[in-house]
Amino acid sequence: MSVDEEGEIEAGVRRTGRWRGVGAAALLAGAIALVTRTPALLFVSAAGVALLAYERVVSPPPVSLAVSRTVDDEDPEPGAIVSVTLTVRNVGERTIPELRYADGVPQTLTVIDGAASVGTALRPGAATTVRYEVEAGHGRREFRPGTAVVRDVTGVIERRAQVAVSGDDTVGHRPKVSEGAAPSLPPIAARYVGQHPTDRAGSGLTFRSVREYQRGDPLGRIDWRRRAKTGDLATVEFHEERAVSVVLAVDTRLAAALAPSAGEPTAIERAQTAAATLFSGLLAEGHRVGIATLGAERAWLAPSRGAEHEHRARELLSAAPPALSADGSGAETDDWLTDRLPPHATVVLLTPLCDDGVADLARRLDAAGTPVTVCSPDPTATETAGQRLARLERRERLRRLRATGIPTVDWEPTGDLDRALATARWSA
Amino acid sequence: MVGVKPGRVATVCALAFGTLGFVLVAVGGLATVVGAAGLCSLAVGCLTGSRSAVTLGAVGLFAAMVVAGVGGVGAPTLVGSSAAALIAWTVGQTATELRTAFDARARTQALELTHVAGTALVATAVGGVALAPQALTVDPTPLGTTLLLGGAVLLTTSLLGSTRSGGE
Repeated sequence: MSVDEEGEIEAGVRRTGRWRGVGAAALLAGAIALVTRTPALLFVSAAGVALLAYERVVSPPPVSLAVSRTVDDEDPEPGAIVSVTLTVRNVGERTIPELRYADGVPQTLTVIDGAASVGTALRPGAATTVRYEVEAGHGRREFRPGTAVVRDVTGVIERRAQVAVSGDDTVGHRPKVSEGAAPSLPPIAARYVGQHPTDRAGSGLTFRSVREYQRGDPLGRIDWRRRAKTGDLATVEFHEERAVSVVLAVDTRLAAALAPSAGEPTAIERAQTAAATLFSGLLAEGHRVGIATLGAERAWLAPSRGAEHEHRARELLSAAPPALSADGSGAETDDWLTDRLPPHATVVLLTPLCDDGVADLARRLDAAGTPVTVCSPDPTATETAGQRLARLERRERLRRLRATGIPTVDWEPTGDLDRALATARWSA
Repeated sequence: MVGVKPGRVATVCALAFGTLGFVLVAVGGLATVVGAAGLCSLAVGCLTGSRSAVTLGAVGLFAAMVVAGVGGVGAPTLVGSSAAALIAWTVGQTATELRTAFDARARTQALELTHVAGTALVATAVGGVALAPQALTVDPTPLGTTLLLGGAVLLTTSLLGSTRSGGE
């Protein structure tokens, strides 16, 4: 039986080492038996040898499990209690004397009642049911595969495997990108004139409306026919052609998975919420909006418009934070993002700004001529000296960004997003 | 069994088998003291979740058994005590694992009961195999005894080497 460097006999199989020392005890008992001429102890020694032989030949049962999951409400509001029911069945032909199964609960969900794991024994065809309740968070979360560990009856050897689960695999509230408020970009961010007419009145070619004349209106836009007919002065308005391509860059890195305290939404979740709100508002303004995630598993949705685009954005923004296992900061992220940005695109960076890497990214984009604005959910707390230091460092990053002319929104943990955007004059 | 925390059933069973192993060999002063110390360590380990204390308790029970063997206790009693100590050790380790591996509200009683029963079965079988030669009546010769001893040592070291490499 070959053993690799990690102590695995074959894929996922390893000895637990819980009988380590039995061999030494057997030899010791035998030696004492010989020295003290005590034949009875030789039988104890023989028992030890028999135990070693058992440990040598035993093998763990296969992970022959069929697991199904049922979630009683797949689209709950944030804070709602969701009941999850798991059924674990042994579909193999061999009894599993010791099964430890843990469900792949999303990291951002908290189990508030019951347990998402079970330890049991299953005969062939037998099943066990597990029920637990979680509190739905912000955004939609995907369950991960379950983890099963099966052991022989004494627990000296085990097999570990990931188990795919059938049935419901997501829980949480989908952000409604079409029903949010209607924030706009700050004027400095929308510096490029686009080709698409907006709903705003202004200079353009497409007729929009006629309104009462106001002092200062250009003479060329006065409706002279109406003036001739009725004697009233009226001004013709056109659809302003100012639409731009906007990319909402959501920071989903591990460094952004921060919250003021356990149980509160992380900065990633708040950034996703803000992205959904901005997405709807900017689309309503006629802009072409895209989405990028800055985690290790990056996602890209090129700026566009339309129902299909909205649907894809909704799926993207409702996905679980994909980068909680790795960090994706650095120059590599810059290249990845800049390679995809359309010409004259505006970037809205949604990040807690809790590390220098992402602040440097904003500055580099700005230096390269890309209009950048930062919307920053504040995840810091003030309970400990370390937390207060982190808050000061974050404020310093915000100050530096503002000093370089980058518009920023500081969204406090207890604050309302719409109010934060309005305070920063992002509202339409 | 609803409401029983993970590891509780295994703890009770480990202490029961530990007590059995202790009672079987508590025939003299030294064996009793050593065995009682081992039993206490086993109890502390199971109740506090310390795997080291559980192992220390098993070592104490084993030492008590050796002392009792040297003191003249018969082979079936020694093997029975060893088997009980082995069950207490194995199940005690499981109890400590379950305490840390599972949430306090998780159901593990089926696992624990099956584990205790299965380990007891294996220990009984192993004890039976070890005591089987006692039922045989043979005339020992010096050469045969030497060969048997040499073979036993080779088998033990071979098994020890293979299991140790797999358990790293």
